[in-house]
Amino acid sequence: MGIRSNGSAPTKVPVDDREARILASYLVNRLPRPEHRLRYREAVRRLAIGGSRALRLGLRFPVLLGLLDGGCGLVRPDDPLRQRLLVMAAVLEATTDHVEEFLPAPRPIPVLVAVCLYHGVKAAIKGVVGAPFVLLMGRGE
Amino acid sequence: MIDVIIAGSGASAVNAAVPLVEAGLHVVMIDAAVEDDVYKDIIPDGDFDTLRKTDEGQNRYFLGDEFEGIPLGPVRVGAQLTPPRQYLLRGVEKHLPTDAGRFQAFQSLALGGLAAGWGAAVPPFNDRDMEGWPIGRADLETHYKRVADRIGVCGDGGDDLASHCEDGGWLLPPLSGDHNATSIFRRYTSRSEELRSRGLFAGSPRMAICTRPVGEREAFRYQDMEFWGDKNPSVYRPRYTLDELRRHDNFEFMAGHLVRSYTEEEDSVVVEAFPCDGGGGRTLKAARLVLCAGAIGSARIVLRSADAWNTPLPLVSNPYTYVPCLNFGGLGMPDRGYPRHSLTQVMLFFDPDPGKRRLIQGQIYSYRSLLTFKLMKESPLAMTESRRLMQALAWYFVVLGIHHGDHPGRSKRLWLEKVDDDPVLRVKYRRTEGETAERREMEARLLRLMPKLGLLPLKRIDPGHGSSIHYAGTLPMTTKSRRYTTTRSGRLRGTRSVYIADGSVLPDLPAKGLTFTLMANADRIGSHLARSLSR
Repeated sequence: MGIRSNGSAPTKVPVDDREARILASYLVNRLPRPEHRLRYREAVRRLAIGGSRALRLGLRFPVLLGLLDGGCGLVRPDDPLRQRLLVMAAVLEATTDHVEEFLPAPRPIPVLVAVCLYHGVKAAIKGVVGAPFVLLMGRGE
Repeated sequence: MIDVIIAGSGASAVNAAVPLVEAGLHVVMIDAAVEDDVYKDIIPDGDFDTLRKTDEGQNRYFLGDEFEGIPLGPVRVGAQLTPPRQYLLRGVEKHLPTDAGRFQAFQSLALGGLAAGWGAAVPPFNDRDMEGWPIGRADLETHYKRVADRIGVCGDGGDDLASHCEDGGWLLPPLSGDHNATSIFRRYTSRSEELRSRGLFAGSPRMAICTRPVGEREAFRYQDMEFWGDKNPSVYRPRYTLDELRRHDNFEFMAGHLVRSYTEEEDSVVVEAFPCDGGGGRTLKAARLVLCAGAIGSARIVLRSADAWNTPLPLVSNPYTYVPCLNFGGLGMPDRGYPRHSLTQVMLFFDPDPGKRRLIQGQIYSYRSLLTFKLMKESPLAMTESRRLMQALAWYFVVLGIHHGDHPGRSKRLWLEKVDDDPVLRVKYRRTEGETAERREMEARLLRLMPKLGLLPLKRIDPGHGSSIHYAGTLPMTTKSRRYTTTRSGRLRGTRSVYIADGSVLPDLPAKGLTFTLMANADRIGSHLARSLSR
């Protein structure tokens, strides 16, 4: 399971700075520099990622992004919301500002177990609660 | 007149050329020679961690100017091709039209061919691997040595791989392993007797890497940038040998051209070469032609030259499986500054039935320098949690790559067809149910042993037929006199002056990586030709 291309036509869904801010804040909990937000917008345009109801709803109510993302991850991994989040993750990872948020590093076993348990449970809840929501919402824009 | 024309500039081509050039013969090498003209100069000379933390321009080579490094589609063949390596595929669709269906016929017009981006594993073949061939290990021994001295081959000749990778004293010191390799070897060593008795042999990978200086190439610097560039020229690429060849007055390199076909005359061969950027072709006459365009490429040239449309030739390709694993044996290991690289950390052979010829080869890689977001893509979890989990676990992720052997069969064929008057190569490749069942059984047996090495297999990924990018057997060496086969010395039957010195001539493929043997065999055929033309 994972993100799959949906063969979207070039996007007509506007990719604005607000979207870049919302997705970056969701992913790493802080705002990227303007040039990195611009790079994200350029990437979405070049990769021709379309829109979806989940994306629209997530951008309108950012508080729901976690559930929508978790739900899509389980039942609709090729949703444009997931694709755009992946693009934002890639853009952030390839910057000196955010590299530490992605670069793997060894951790003591207790810390590793705690991290895996905490984030694993959180992810499971988001997925289980979000999946029916995403299914009910349908795929279209 | 030219003595020898060589088509191609890959691992076989340059190693076939060396003995010919050293014998003083006039050699012309023709190749499209596509090069990376975008990224190679923008990647700074530094190690992965330093560049990640300091280079403001890293997005260009890690993601690509067109963001081609962000894969939104399914895992595909060549997924390891990072933006700076994607030039390997440039021009292929236009110049080498192929309809291979679900078979992944990976071809390249790059300078140095597919070996311009290979993984550099070089296990030599032994007599068991070459069973049924018209040549054996003794015929290749001196050529393995010559090639090893030329390219630099490292490994530990005293480890448990020695029984499957007999070396002729050519090994440079082995690569140092990272934290994953260290923990895997620790577990292997403590159980080696039991594991060997169950057919598992592990050791330091045999790699075409200079761990000490070889010629003008410096020793490996452990920068962990092997997927991205060649700033440290210690991992062998054919262009290093090509650079040496170009220093000889009797060697010419004709870049930007492709050999399409040849015609034989009484005592010579006329070769048609076309410029890749359009325009009229050129004809060159030589005493001999050596085809080194790859198993698929050379077959295309031979079929076209013989005007043989819809004539099927055999094709073999190592089946390949990826298995991402969690190295639980390494959990909690402190970072002692282990040297890092992206190439094979541990080489395995699984040989549970020594009487049979069904050995499989495994290579274990650490997952690190391909960026964390690609792991997030494969995770079904919410992205924020995926990021945290992958960041915590990626240090302990390894990928086990498994190669199986392959034999020709009725449903493994390629042929040339005319489509709107244009030649299109078609491939039909299907493995029998018996072959598939044996592959699964062997993999299951191997994976059951992985916990003994501290590895937890997470998922078995079959990227499809052809995904090993190891192709062979299209014009096989045989003692039987049949059309579209080659003699022991590499001469194409039915011709006087056309030789094949690439993977086409290998009658089948053992599980071991083939490139070292391709190079040694090319050196053997080049040496034979040099002797016969010098008389």
